[in-house]
Amino acid sequence: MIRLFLFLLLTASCQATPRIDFEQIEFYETFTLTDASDSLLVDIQQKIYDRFVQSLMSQDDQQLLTIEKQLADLYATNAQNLIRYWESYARYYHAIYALKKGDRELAEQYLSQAIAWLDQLKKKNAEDHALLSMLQGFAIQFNPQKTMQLAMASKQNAELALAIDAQNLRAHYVVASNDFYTPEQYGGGKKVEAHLQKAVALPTQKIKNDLLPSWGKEEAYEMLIKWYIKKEQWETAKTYFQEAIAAFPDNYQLSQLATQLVSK
Amino acid sequence: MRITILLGLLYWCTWAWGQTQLKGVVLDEDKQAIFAANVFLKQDPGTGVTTDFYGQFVLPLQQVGDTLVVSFLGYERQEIPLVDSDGKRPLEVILKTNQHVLPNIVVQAKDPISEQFAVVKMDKMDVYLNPIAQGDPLKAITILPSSTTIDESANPSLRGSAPDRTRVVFNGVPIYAPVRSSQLNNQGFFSLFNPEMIRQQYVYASNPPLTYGNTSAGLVDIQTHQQLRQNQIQFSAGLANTGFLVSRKHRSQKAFLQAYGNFQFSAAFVGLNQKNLPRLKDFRTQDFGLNLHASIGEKSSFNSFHYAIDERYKYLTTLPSFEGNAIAGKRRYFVINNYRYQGERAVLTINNGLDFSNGDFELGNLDSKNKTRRAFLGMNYEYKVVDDWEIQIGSSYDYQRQVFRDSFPRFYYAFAPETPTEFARTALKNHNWETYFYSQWKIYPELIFSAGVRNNLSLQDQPAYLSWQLGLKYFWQNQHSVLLSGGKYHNYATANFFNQNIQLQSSYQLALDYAWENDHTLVRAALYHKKEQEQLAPTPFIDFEEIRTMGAEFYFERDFYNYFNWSFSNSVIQQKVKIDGDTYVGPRDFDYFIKTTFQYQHPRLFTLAVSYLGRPGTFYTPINGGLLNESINFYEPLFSTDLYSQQLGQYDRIDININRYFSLEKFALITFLSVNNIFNFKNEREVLYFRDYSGFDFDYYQQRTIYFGCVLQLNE
Repeated sequence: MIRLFLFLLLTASCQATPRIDFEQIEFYETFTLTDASDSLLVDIQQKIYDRFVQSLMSQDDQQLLTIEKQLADLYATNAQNLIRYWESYARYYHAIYALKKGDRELAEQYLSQAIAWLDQLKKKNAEDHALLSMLQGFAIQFNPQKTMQLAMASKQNAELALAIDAQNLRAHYVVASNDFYTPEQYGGGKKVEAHLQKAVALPTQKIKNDLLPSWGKEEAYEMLIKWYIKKEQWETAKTYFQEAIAAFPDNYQLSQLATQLVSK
Repeated sequence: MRITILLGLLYWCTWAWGQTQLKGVVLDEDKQAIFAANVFLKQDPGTGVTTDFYGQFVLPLQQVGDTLVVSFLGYERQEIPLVDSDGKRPLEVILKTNQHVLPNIVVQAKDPISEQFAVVKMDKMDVYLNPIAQGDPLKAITILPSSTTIDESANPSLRGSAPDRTRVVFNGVPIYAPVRSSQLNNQGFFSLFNPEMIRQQYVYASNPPLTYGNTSAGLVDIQTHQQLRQNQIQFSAGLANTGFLVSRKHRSQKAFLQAYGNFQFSAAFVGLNQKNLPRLKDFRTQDFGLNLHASIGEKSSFNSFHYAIDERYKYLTTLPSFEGNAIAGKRRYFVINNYRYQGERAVLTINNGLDFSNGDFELGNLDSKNKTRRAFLGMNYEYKVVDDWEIQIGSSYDYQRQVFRDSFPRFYYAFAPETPTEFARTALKNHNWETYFYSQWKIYPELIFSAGVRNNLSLQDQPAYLSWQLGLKYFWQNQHSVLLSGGKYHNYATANFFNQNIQLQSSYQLALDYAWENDHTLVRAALYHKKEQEQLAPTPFIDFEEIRTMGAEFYFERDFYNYFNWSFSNSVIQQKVKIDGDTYVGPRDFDYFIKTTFQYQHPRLFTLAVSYLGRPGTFYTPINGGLLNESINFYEPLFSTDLYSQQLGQYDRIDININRYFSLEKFALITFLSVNNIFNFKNEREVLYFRDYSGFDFDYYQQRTIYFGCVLQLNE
C-alpha cells in the first residue's frame, strides 16, 4: 500500500514538474580566466547590456557605438565567429534603442546587418542559430510582407539550435518564442509551456564561460508568466513570478508583470 | 632531522609541481584554432581557462595525475589524463565536430557545391508568393529578367536560348519535356512539379555548373525536402481542376511521404471562356505523384519520387491546306531514386532515373505515335579538401531510346485527310556517358573561384567533346556581388516529331551578373554574350548553323509601406542567326522585354498582384505565294528567300491575381481568382495563310480568361 502511495506520489510529481534529463547536463562551476588581449570579450554580454541602458538613460547611443566599434576593430584583426556573434548581439540592442527613439528605419537597418552577419557564419553552433532565430523573429515587425519567410527561417534556426544542443536554454527559449508568437489557428501555442519550463530549469551555461552567451533565462521566465496570464492560470503564473523575481530581483520587465497578478 | 629534510623535500616537490603550467593549443580537425574553448581540470572544475584567438591556453597545474577537460560549442568534449611530463611541453588538443548532431543537420541543409554561382535561389514560399507563377515552380522563373519564354509555356527559355537547350534537373536527374501539353496554359499546375515538394530551386541563367551535363544554355536545379515540417492534408478545386495532397511524417521522425494527385477537365473553364478560347476544344489530365524520404542512420538518406500522368487534349488547328482538330495524348511514368551519404568532409550521392512515355498525335492525314524510354545513373563525390577548397567529381550515364511510328503527309504542306501519306518507323537511341571534375576555392571570404571540366566517353561513335567553365564571384559590403563566368557547353537536342534527330549542340558563353540587395530593395543587372552552334529553325528545312546573342538585363524590386511591392525589369537582346553562311535576325531579338508587377500583400487581408509583360513581336519568314501541285490540288508554299524579315505585332499582356487566406483553427482556406490578359490584347502568335497563300490572318496567344478556385488545408 505504501509502495502504491509512493508510486502515485512520484507519478504525480513527475507530471507536475518539467522532466529534465539531468544526466546530460554538466554542472561544472568553472570560473574561466582569459588572456588580457581578449579582455573586451570578458563578460561582454553584460557590457553590451550596460551600454544599452546607459544609451537609453542619456538618450545618446555613443556608448553603444563605442563598443560596436571596439568589436568591429577586434573582428578586423581576428575574424572569429564569436566576435561576429557579439557584434550582432550589440546591433540587436542598438536596433531596440533606435526603435525606442522612434527611428524604425535605422532599427531595421541595424537588425538586418545583425541577421546578415549571423547568417553568413560558417559552422554555426547552437548559440549562433538561437540568436539568429530570435533576430529573425524580431525582424517580422519591420517586414510584414515577409512574415512567412522570416517566420519559417526563424523556426528553422530555432529547431536547428535545439537539434544541435538539446540542453541549451536559449534554444528552448527561441523554439518557445516562435510558438508563442504563432497564432493558434496556424498551429501555434502547443510547445510554449514545455520548452519554457525546460528553459527556466536549465543552467544559463553548462560550463561557466565569460566569453559566451548566458542570456535567455529572464526572457524565458517573462514569457512563461505571460503565457500563464494569457491562459488565466493565475496560481501557476504567481509561482513562476515569485521564482523569477527571487532569481532576478532587478529585472524591470519581470517586476512589471506583478501588476497583472495582483488580486488574481 | 632526516624526517624534517624529507618533509621539506616533499613540500618543495609539491610546491614545484604547483608552479607548473600546462601550455597548449586547441584546434579543430582542420587545424584551425578554436577561440574561447573551455580548458579545466576534471578534479578541479572550479578553476579553468579559455583559449585565446590562437587557440592557446596556459593552465596552472595543481596536482599530479589529474585529467584535463577541453570543450567548446559544437565539438565533442575531450578528456586527457595528464602525466608528469605534460607540464614540460605544449599540448595539442584536437576537438572533433560533434558527430551526434551535425551530420544530420548538414545532410538536411546541404546546398550544391555550385550554389554561389546560381543567379537565383527560390524556395516553396517564393513560388507561392510569385505574382505570375500561379503556384507553378517553373512558371515562377518567368518573372526573372533572364527568362525569355515567348510561348506562354512553363518550359523555361533562358537568355535568348531555345527551351530545349536548358535542362530541368530534379534531385540530380534530368527531366526532359518537364511541362504538360504546352497548348494548355493557365490551368492548375503547368509543369510536372508540385511546389509542396520543393525545398530549393536554383536557377542558373547561363553557364550551368558542370556538375550537371547535357545543357548548353541554363539550368534549373530542383531539390526536394529532406525534412517535413508538419503533417498536412490538402484539397483543391478550381474551374478546371480538383486535387489533393497528403504530407505525413513517420512516427520515428526519420521518414515521411508526400502524395498528390490532380484531375483536370475542360468543361467549365472552356465553357466560361469560350469566346476567348476559340481553338481550345477539350482537355483531360490525371496525374499522381509520390515522394518517399527516409534517413538511414545518422549519415545516409534515401529518396524516391514517382510520377505518372495521363493527358489528352484537342484543339483546332488551321493550316493552309487543312483546318481541323489536332488530338494529342501522352501517358508517362517516371521514377527518381536518390541515395546520399554525408561523411565528415565528403558527400556521396547516387542518383537514378527511369522515364517511360507513350504519346500520339493526330491531325488530318498525320498520325504519329512515339515511344520513349530513358534511363539515368549519376554518381557524385564532393570532398572538402580544406575549409575553403571543395572539389566534386562524378560520372553520369544518360540513355534514351525513342521510336516514332508515323503516317505523315507525302507532301509536307498537304495535311488534308484525302491527301497521300507515307509511313515511317524511326528508331533513335543515344548513350551519353560523361565524367566531370568541379572545384570551388574561396580565395578570400569575399572572393570565390570555380572551375569545371566535363567530357564524354563515346559509346556509339559520338564525336568526342570537352565542356569547360571558369567562374569568379566577388562580394562586398554584404550587399553587393559580382559574378563573372564563362565556358563551353554541350547538349543533345531532344527529338520530337518535327526533329527526329538527337543532334549534338554546343555553346560558348560569357556572362557578368551583378546584384545588390538590402532590406527592401533588390537590384540585378547582367551583360552576356553567347555563341550557340547547331539548332533546328522554326521554319521547315532550315538549320541555324550559329546563333549569336548579346543581352543586357536590369531588374529592380522594392518593398514599401509594409504591404506593397513593385518590381520592374527590362532585357535588351540582340540575336543574329547564321544560315548557309548568311546572317539574319534571330527569333529572340528584342529591343525591350519589359516585365513589371505591383503587389499588395497583407497576410490578414488579401494579396493582389497586377503584372504586365511587353515585348516586340518575333521575327518570321514570310510566304510569298503558292505553287499549285495539280496532282493533289494543293498549293506548296513559296518561302521568301529573305529569311526572318517580317515581324509579328507587339506583345502586351496584363494579368490580375487576387487571393485570400482564411484560417479556421486547424483548417485554412485559400481562395484565388485570376484574370489573364485582362485587356484582351490580341497578341499575334503565328501567321495563318489562305489556302493559295494569297492572303493571311493571325493566330493569337491566349486572350482574356478567368480562372478561380480554392484550396482547403488541414494542418496537424
